[in-house]
Amino acid sequence: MEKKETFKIKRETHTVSQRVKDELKAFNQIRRKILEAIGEEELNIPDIADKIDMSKEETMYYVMSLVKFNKLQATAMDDMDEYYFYKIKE
Amino acid sequence: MPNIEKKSFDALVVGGGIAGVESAINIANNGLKVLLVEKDLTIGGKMIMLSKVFPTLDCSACITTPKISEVDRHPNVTIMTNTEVLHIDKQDKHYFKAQIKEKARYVDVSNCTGCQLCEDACPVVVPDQYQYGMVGRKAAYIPFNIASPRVASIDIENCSLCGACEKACPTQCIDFTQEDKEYEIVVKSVVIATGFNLFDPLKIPRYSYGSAKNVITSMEMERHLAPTRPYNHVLRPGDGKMPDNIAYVLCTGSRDMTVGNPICSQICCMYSIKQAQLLMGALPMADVTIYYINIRSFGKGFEEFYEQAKGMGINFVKGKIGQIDELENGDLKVRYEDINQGKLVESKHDLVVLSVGAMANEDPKTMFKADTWKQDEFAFAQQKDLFYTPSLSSIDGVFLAGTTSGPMDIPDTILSSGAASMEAIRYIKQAKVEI
Repeated sequence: MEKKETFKIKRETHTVSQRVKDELKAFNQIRRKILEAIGEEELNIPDIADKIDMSKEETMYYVMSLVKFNKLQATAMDDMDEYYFYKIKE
Repeated sequence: MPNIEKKSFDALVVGGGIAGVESAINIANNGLKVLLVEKDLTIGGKMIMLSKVFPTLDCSACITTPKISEVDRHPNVTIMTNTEVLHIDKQDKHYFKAQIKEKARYVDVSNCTGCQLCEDACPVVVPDQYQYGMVGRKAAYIPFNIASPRVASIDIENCSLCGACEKACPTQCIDFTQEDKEYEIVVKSVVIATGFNLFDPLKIPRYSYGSAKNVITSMEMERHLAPTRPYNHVLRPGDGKMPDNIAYVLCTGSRDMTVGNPICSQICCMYSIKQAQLLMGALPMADVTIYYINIRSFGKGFEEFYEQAKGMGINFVKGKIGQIDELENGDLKVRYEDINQGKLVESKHDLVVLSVGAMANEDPKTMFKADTWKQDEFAFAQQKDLFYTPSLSSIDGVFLAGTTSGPMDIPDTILSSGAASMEAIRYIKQAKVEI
């Protein structure tokens, strides 16, 4: 069946805001930074925040979003039972 | 308009939470045609977002979803989600005209299988309103797994119009040519079940909600404890640490003249005790402290539930909170008046939950002509007679279900919805006009 392309029709009447474009670009950069920071390792939120120079709160939001979107997964907790470690989902 | 063959119904139910769903089922079971209108993308209201219910600790979704399934399959009920009621005008006795607007979803609901391939393909991530912004969602998304209808929607304000969702959709149900539609509906009776709003804790700056990362609301904690939770465990949103010393601040926005709400919200004591018990299960090593003015355990089994919480080791402190300050490590310093000892005390917690109150939802005010829809002094719908006819509103033929008329718990909401629907049925059966 031939695929429709109604998004092209919508483009004629609806302008995508600069905010949407900027946020999309920012998310892609942050995602790449987080995935690169973790690499082959297993890191917790404070470690990831340190590596990418971002606040722990923001890091938490992005890491949890990447867990939700199946890019990352939680593994074990640290020895103090305080923080989970996260690694790239295979 | 999907599944609607005629534009006249016996009853219009406004609001698809548990009160609206219960009312719609009751009216439809009496052979009457019902239009159920919900402004959100899914029916189920707040109840479907809860973890468990008090005092039985039954799974909330397990109670809600059979009701939702029943109303969804009922031959006498037509459901419109993502739809707003603009005006309801009484034309004559037993005869209302309602103007409603169905907002474009950009998805053909009848063809969407809920496969979520559009979600996978969508590159845009924005805060998920169904998880109170604790995690992201895509611009092409299904609200949550037990949403009804469980179909996708496009958030056009945040969509980049890249077309990835449309290319990924196997049933070709994405349709960006959809537009908002307005309808005129004729009904004999109206049930208002628009529910309540949660108190906005930003109105009490000394509690530091919004600035201190680990001060959250009770509804956010519900999401932490629910099976469809935002994180893999109960974690602090500020840094992902597993909390081990949690405080509850009762009466946040209730019984507080400084925020203009002197009344008790009726549910906060018990839902806080419920959450505290669930936390003791999820975090066995955690200390949980509940700061309260009075514990109002007025319902069946409530006092036993409270006693059970004390027996589990939950610490109850009769204290009024003055200030909450964030420490460098994200912990919170709570300054309070210990009412029993009559002195000011400071304590430290690593997560603070504000038990926010129930406020009036004033949406119905804009639906009716001025001066016909009456409110009480707290902006809830005015009941004609609180004791004898609590379901009757100030407009003949318009009935009140659930928390539209004041704060109440789920069993009382079901009772109220039963009363409202019975009044609506009686009113419709008396109608002499054919519409």
